[in-house]
Amino acid sequence: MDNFLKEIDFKELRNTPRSENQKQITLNKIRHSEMKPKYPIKYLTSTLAVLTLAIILFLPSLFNTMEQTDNSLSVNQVLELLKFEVKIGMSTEEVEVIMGENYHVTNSSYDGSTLWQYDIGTTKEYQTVVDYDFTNLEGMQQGLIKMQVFITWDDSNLVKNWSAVYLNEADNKIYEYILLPNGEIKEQSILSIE
Amino acid sequence: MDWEELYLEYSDRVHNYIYLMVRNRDVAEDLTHDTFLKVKNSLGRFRGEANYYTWIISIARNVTYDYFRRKRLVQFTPMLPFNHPTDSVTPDDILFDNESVQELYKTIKKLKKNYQDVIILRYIQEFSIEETAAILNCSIAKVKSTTFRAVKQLREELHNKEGDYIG
Repeated sequence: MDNFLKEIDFKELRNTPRSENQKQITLNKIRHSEMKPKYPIKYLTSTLAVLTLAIILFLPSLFNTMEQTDNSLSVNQVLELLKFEVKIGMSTEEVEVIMGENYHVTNSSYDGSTLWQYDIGTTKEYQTVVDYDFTNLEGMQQGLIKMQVFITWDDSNLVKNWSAVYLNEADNKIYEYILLPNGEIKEQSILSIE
Repeated sequence: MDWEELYLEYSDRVHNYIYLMVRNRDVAEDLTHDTFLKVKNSLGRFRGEANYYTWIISIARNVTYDYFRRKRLVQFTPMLPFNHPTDSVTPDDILFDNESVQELYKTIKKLKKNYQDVIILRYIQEFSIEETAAILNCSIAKVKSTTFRAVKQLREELHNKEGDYIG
């Protein structure tokens, strides 16, 4: 192991070029910056009054027009996050940083492993279904949910693998995208919606 | 030392550390600014438990992870029109001219985040095991075991690559 480290030239990575000019610009910005000041108390009352009025006026219409619930990541974004950020062996904390904390805990129907289930792109009518690692295909067919992600944990609470099942509205097919424990990726269409 | 002396002494290394984490020169500069703004405002509370640089890198790491969290929150914006997923990724801002250095960097970035942390801190930033443990807020034993696994993984990744650029 030590020989291997001696062979690697880490020192080149210590030198990311940074111009003196840029360094000086940042220094000047810090000189003239302050941490975000606490909001002046003299404005507090009037701001609260305006906010209250805005809530009274606009909140009902907001609820009427809102089709998506809070978990409104696009399918694209989630798949990109999964493919490039969520890696086998990651800890629960790391996955929470990337994927958020809006998940349901369930178990694998195959071996009982712990899983996190993320429901993505749900409408307000959607009722969460947690049923082992079975995908809510019915909900997808009805347009109530666009994607489900299952992250499987090993005994040390590290990512074992993950899978994503999503509706591709371009061809009206449901696809499954799986990262297997050996790092292999499998993607296939599993259902066509009539 | 006052904060400006600390800035002149350490900002290049802090910028380097943040750049290695975020892969973007402009973002690294902004986060370096945020780091030293915190240093400026909290220097009076520095208790001297670690040396200045270890303390500043701890701040830089927190600032960088806050950035990752904000980035994630930004991505949790209202549902975008659906497009079929593509393989597109945000291009890295490559600062390294040497191809083998770039390859080494890309290989490190392929590792798990906690492996990247220890490789960057231990071998690029050259912190001791004790300092790394202080920065990561974990035990020395944890740093040792994570480093061992990270190096093992790095070796495997490098050996899997076509063309040997080591040495």
